[in-house]
Amino acid sequence: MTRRLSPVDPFRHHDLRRYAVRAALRPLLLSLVASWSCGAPARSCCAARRRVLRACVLFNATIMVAVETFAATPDAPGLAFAALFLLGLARVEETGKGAWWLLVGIAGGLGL
Amino acid sequence: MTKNTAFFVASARLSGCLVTPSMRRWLASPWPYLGGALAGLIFLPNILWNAHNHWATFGLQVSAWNRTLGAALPRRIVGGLVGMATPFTFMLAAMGLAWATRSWREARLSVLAATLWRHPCLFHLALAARPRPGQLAVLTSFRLWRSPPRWPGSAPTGPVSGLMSRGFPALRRFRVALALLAFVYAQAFFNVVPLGRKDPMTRLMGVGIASLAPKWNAPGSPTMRRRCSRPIIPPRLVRVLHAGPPAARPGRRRCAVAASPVRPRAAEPAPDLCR
Repeated sequence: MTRRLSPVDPFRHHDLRRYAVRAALRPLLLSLVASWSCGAPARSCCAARRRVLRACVLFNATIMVAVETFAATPDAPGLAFAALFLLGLARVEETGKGAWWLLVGIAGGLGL
Repeated sequence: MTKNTAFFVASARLSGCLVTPSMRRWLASPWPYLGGALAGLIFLPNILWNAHNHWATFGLQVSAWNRTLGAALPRRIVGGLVGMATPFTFMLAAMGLAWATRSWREARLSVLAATLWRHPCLFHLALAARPRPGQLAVLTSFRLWRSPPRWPGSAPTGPVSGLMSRGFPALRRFRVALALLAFVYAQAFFNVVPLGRKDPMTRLMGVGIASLAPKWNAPGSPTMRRRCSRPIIPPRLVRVLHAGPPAARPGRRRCAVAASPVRPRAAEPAPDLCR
């Protein structure tokens, strides 16, 4: 009896598009989340666009982030949730609102 | 969802909160505990799955620890950080780390210092995990956010500060940074300095994988026994990596699944167009 182990075989042309969406788009979106998480605290606190932009450019210029945008590794969500975790803590410290701890908890749980 | 070692990232950051007076007051409020409960609830399916599957992923972390503890760790940590974060970002992050450590009484800086200092500390060494350059990048963003309008002073603190000081023209600074960045990307994509598979950057780009194909795809190899079916490294990927012919297919298939994902089609008789 013949059966296939995996429903998606990336090396068959008709599965390639579906595989590309799964493997490439998701890390890309997660990198956007991570970039936003890096820039958001800077923007809310000092409103200096140049520094926000510089932070985001440097963040995306690292090899790790550049590779993650087209490779499906667990580092992409790990990076995004680590940045969100830190963003939550920064918001707690800045605003003094305890509800930001929920963001810290969600990011921590998803990061695990 | 990602890696269990993220637990140590979270614990390092939370310990940074606890040692900071202004953040310690939150311990008396229910919010941190609600956040912790939420994190536990999200992580609960992972624990349940592990409990029903012989603690597979948790065991993997422990086995990695046993396998690599004490072996070439300083080189791996420093090399990984410099390479994956790029030298320029690494320098900024190192400056940020020193600055955050000096100002540890301030809440957000103590969190960052606690997070970053975990790398040379026991957590990281014990788990033998690669450093997460993203955290360096996050630190860099905070460094830029909180930095004074000009970079800190020059000579006494060494070449890093000298590079960033005002005496160094902005255009030259930009060129140096660009050159460093270009070199790291060239190394990652083209393996300029032939470090082979041991270099994490080149390994991410697939360098050396093709040479492993004959060994891993051999019929009696442990990886094939575990997977029981198709080659670990697909022959088509080997061809893409330009490293020689694809691996030999196993002679006898253990399962009824094709040994190669690409099945040769049976030759069809040519249509007789003269009829």
